[in-house]
Amino acid sequence: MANKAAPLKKDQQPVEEEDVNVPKSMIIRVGSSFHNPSLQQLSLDLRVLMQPHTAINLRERRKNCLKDYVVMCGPLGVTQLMTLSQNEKTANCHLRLASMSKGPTTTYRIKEYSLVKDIVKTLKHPKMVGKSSTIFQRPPLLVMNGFANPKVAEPHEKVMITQFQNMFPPIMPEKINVDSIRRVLMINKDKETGEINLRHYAIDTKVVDVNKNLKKILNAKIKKNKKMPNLGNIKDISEILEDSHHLGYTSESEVEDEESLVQVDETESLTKAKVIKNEGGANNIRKKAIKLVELGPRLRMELVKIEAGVCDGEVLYHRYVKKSDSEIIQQKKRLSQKESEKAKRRKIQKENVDKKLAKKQERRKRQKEKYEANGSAVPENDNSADESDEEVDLRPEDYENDSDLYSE
Amino acid sequence: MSNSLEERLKSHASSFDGLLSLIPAKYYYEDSNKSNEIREQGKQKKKPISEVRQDKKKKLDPAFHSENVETATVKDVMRNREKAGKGAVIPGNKKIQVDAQDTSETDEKDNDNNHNILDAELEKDREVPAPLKTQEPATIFDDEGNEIKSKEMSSEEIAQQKAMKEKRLSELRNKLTAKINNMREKRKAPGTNAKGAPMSREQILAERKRKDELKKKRQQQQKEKEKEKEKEEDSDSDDDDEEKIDADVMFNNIKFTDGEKVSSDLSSLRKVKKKGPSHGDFKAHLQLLERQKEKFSKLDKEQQAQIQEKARWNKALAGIEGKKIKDDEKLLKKSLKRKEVKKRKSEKEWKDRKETIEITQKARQDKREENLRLRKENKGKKRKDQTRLKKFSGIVKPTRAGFEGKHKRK
Repeated sequence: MANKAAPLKKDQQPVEEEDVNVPKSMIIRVGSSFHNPSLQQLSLDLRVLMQPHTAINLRERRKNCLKDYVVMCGPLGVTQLMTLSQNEKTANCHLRLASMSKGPTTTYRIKEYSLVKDIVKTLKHPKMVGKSSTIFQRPPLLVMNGFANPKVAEPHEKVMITQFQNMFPPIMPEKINVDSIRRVLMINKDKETGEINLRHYAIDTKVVDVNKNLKKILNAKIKKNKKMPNLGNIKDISEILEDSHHLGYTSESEVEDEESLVQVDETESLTKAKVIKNEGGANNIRKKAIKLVELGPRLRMELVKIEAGVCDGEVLYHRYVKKSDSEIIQQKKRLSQKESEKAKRRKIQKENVDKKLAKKQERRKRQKEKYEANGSAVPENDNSADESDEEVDLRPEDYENDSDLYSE
Repeated sequence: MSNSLEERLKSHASSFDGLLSLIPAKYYYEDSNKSNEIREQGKQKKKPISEVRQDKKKKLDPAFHSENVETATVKDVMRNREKAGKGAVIPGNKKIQVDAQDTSETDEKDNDNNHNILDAELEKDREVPAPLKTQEPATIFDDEGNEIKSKEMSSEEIAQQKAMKEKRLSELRNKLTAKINNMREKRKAPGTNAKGAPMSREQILAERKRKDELKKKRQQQQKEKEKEKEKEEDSDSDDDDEEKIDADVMFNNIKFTDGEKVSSDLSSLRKVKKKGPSHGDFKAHLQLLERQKEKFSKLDKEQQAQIQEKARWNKALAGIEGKKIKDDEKLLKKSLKRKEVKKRKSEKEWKDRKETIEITQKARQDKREENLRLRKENKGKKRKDQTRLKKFSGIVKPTRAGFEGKHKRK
């Protein structure tokens, strides 16, 4: 069995969220995606991306069906269900985003994906972070590019935008600490093809206000493990200040783009001791370079359809299939027929159950009379067995909360 | 000492200057600050060290001496005043200057006659007294020949000039009053002869009232306009398709603590207003649905289709945002029924509770009276003959019809 979860250490404990209405998500695999290990890895990577308000350690079984999760979403307060599936015939992968508890569901076909481990391999200086790292304690900043303005967008695009925006809690400008934004989720829409690219980055900041060469020399004095750079070729001190490429090579981390520099007032974030130390300078405004390091996963996908319910219901939008009015009417007819048949079957089943029950009760009654006539007590075990039979009987009231939207 | 007058004056002046440069200014000029200083002596604060040092250094600076009141000599003060003050006007010179200006001005005015006649006249007016004033001091400075000239200006001429001046002044005044009257009539001020000007106090008051009302009306209109604008911003975006803003980049939802939201293109704020009946009021929801249905049935088919399409998407959007849309009649009815049943049940329970209390109270009262009666009867009887008093505790539940009767449980 699963290990008992050890109590979290202090720094591992998730940050308390005052707002109750934080969107929570669950990422699961369904169908034949179980046979595809890389899709399984993708679901794990997506969970890391969706942290902190997601079920990170959720374990699916093959026996679990979608309904099981949907039923559990209500009591757990999950607002979004993300499912990964693979078509058995075409091997197409699909990502579905379903809003709980009554839809809609948007279905994306995944055209390409890269896992975290692939991204890590491609980068020269990847950022290695575990899923319990502090940068995952806060939701990422969502940046969407290429989408039409929701005021003028088509309804299906509007749904897409709103769904992405509602994946994460809203930013509260009065309360938010800018330092807490450590990740970016970028969603780019290709305007021509309508494809959606999803990238996940970590935000790195670096102090840059000192001349790099000067810093090297200073470091040689301050830090023991740094060596003094070779100054043999230098004729004048001005060369150090002017030529930034003189000492050693430029590295990838060199900041070339002036636009990515940001001035930050550090007075608030510094500890007291540091502030006192800095008092001579009296200036805590420092230049910082902002850099994004990709964390992964990457997704390239396209919107296929939008359904009104949770993975069922009326199709509001389909990219490829367009149905005429008559076809829609026919479909509706078919659906209602199906529904009525189902109701009929249910009714017959109920009648059968009632009949059986009545029979049983009659038998019990007869037995009782018989025993009373004999003058002995009714045997205990027989009675209890009957009672347990009755308890199994399903009552609709018990399940009301699962599907009833209006229950308080 | 047969020097000219000028040379003599100069030599005197230099000797005076020498004397003045030796006298400290504070003894020579009356110091207006002095009395204040004495008063404020106690209140004075100690100067900071840096300022004291600066002051000490300043003492060595000659430029400082000439400026400082305490250390400066009378000569310095005079020089400073000379610098600061406007250049002294030598009377004779001024007249010539002004005359030259005047002629040039009149030349210009010939070109456009209707140019500010009043101003020009006023200027001329100012010029006139100047020679009058200058004549007298001129006599003082002149030594020999000049004196005779001034005497030639007879008293008659002066009187004439005075009369001329007065005449001009009165003309100007008349002009001014005429102009003011004209303007008053134009705006129909009270007390003028203009048509429609208010004659009595009542009329003035009425006029004032009318103007106030007009002002109020205008303000109200402005307010309404603003409200409409806000409404347009609030109303959900569907109608204003014509405005195109290409803000490509969008971010998370941004929400303020007071409930205001920023639209996704960061262009405007909108307050989330609650529309429609409250969450638990199923009856109102049902009524609303019925009204909508009625409205819907009156529309033609095209409009119906449009509305249906819109409602479908709105429902989807609401679902994403976690709002609950209550448009399922079946569910609403069911919930309403459940709520009613619950209410009925609790009502009944409350009634029972009340009845129980009443009955119990009554039973206790009965018992007490019975006991009192028994006690009276028992008086004078032996203990063993006495009937026992009743004891009572607990509650009495109301009997249910047809259930609890004579038959008692074993």
